[in-house]
Amino acid sequence: MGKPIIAALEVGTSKTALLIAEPLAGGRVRVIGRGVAQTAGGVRKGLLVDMRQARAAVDTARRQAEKEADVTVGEVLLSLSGGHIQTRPGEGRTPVRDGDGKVTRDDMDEVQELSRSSGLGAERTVLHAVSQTYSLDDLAGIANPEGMRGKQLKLDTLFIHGQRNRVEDIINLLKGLAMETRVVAFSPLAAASAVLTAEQRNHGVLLVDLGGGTTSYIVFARNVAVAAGALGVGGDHVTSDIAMAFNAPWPKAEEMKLTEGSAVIDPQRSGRRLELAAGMGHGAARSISVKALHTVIEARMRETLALVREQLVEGHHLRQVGAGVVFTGGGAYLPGLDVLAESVLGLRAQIGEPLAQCVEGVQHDRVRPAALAPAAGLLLDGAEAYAAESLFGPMKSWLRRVAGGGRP
Amino acid sequence: MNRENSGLLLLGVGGGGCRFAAAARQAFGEELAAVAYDTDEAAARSVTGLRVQLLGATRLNKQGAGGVHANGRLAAQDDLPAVLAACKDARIVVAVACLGGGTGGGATPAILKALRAEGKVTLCFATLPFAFEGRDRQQNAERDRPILEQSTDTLVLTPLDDLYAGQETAPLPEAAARAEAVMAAGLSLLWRLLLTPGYIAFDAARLQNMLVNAGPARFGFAEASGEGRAEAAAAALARSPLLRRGEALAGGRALAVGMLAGPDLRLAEVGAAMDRLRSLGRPDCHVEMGVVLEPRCEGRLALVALAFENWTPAEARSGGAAADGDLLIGVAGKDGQKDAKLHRRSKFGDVEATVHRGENLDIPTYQRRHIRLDR
Repeated sequence: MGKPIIAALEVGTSKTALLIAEPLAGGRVRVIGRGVAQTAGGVRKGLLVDMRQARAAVDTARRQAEKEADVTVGEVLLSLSGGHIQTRPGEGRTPVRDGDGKVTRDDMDEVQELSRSSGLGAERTVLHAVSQTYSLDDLAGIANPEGMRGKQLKLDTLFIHGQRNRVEDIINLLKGLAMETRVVAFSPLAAASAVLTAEQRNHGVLLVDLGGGTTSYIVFARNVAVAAGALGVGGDHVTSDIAMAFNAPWPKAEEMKLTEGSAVIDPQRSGRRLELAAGMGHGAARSISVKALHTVIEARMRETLALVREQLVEGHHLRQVGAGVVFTGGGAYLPGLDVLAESVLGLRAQIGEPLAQCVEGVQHDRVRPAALAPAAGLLLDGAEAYAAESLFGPMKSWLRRVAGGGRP
Repeated sequence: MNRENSGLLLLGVGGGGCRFAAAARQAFGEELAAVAYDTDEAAARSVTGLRVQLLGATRLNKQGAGGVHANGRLAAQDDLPAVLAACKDARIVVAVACLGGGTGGGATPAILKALRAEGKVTLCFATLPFAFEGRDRQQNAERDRPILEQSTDTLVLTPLDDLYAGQETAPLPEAAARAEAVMAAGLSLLWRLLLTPGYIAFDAARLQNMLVNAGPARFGFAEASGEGRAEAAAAALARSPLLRRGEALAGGRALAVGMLAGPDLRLAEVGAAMDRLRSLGRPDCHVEMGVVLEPRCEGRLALVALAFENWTPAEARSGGAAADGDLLIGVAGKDGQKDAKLHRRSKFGDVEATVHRGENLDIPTYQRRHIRLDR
């Protein structure tokens, strides 16, 4: 039997990335194959809109990764996002069965089973049922009630669910390429495994994945994912705003965003002008004010972060965040994002790159590490799940893994 | 603005579209920048005065789309890079096509959609088949019409029955020539209005503003000569089947009028024609006009009108003091119709809009927030 390998795939709006890794001791992984392809219009806002183009991107990424790793990928762990992904709270209740009112492991298993009934319609599919904290009678917020006395045990659950057809579209696309999807994970939840420390999860942290078509987020507090969500707005919207503001073709707008962009008006650069050659969208050659460019970007980014803030404030989750905000995805590297995050969210910001002590070899010559965080996180989760399979049975550990824990 | 650098490009698609484009070029001259595409080599060769390029030659073997929408669409997609390259310097693309067939109905929306994704403003003149052409072509056209409407900023629909009205007893070549001349006159007047410095100007920015802010339109043409030519041309326009015998004028929310006459045109005649047309429409109808004087039109007056079904006034330019020639996008605000149009123009036109508390987030934030850009 050969050495086990794990493959993690993210079919994003801008890029499709496939990483192949081998598990190492201590739950770490070493990336041995990397494949990245432009999704090139196959996906919009996290949704498949052109199967042919998306299939080509996955195929290209797979070939690159397989060639480098010298293995064949037959199954993948899939990370996805999209504006269709939503959350819903759930709960399970059960009377404590033991005669003297002591909570047993059986009670906890039963309430966990009961809490997984989402009550969602057939058109939705649950990606994660994240166990929160237990309540025993009037006492809430219990991490582990085993051995405590009470009459009724309750477990709160956070369901992260997506539109069934949209999720199955991607699974079917992979089937067509002879790849089975072993797990489907919500991008920021997957990314969290690679970039957050246990301390951050414990103190409360907001992770925002700034993708090309989607901005998705998750909040951890006291080691548990307590809130999550996705907005159908991403880096493509920034590019689109620039293209429309300056009547520039899409590639030029993207280039302006990447080379001159800033999430806030940068006084060091705001006096400069960018030259646009003749024939770019508008017939004549012209120049564009960097200040105007930054104004366009700031308006969009401020709005996006304000929408995240609005959702967190509604659920009273922002006040649970003590360890700041971590940005992953390609948008994480936008200069000035930390200043804007401080202004809008009131949180200290950092870029979430896969932790070097957990993932080896994630570097790619064309994609910066934070953009590979979801795939890297899936590799870690996969490594842990594979290791645990012999003990707990297939994938049972997966559910435990996403509910808490964290990297040392 | 010189004639070569108008930023305006005429695009003929399909057999009928290529013929109309060639006729317009002939009416204006070679300075009218035009490109033309068809899938049928034989038809392409029959067009004079304009070189017609083939779409999907490998896929369709240069034999045409066979009336199949999908063939036209796929053929266009095969050659999109070349089409986009040919249109790269244009700011406004004016397409002309005939619905009912495979190339006009299938290729045109695919091309226009790609052009809009590149940031071009698009206006599409499309004809509907003759009633006698039968149910299949009518059904094809009806199916393609909403697709085309979604793919362009403004769609100007003209039933061929209306374009040929009054020509029923004329020999077929003569009737066809007359219909092509009407379409050519309308299209070429657009170029004349934009490219010829006039006493009453209609510039590219105003045209863009109308295309982005106004809805589907009907096109009308009429001319008269001699004493009382202004009133006579306006009356003929009002009676024209092209404008549904006045219905399109009466119900239109916006009206663009181009006037072509000789240097003998008097100011009173301009007033008379416009007063007549205004009297036929809604009191709140938004009117734009332009006048072009050409010596060869001495004694004559031609009127071309675009009567738009919808109009959303551009309250202010979102970008504030935009530089000359900047794209007029208008302010999205809460206006659903304009939002929908801006949404279609954006990169996200092919997926469901991201709407939050009634706001379409696909529309640039700086526009929705009325943020002035210090350009």
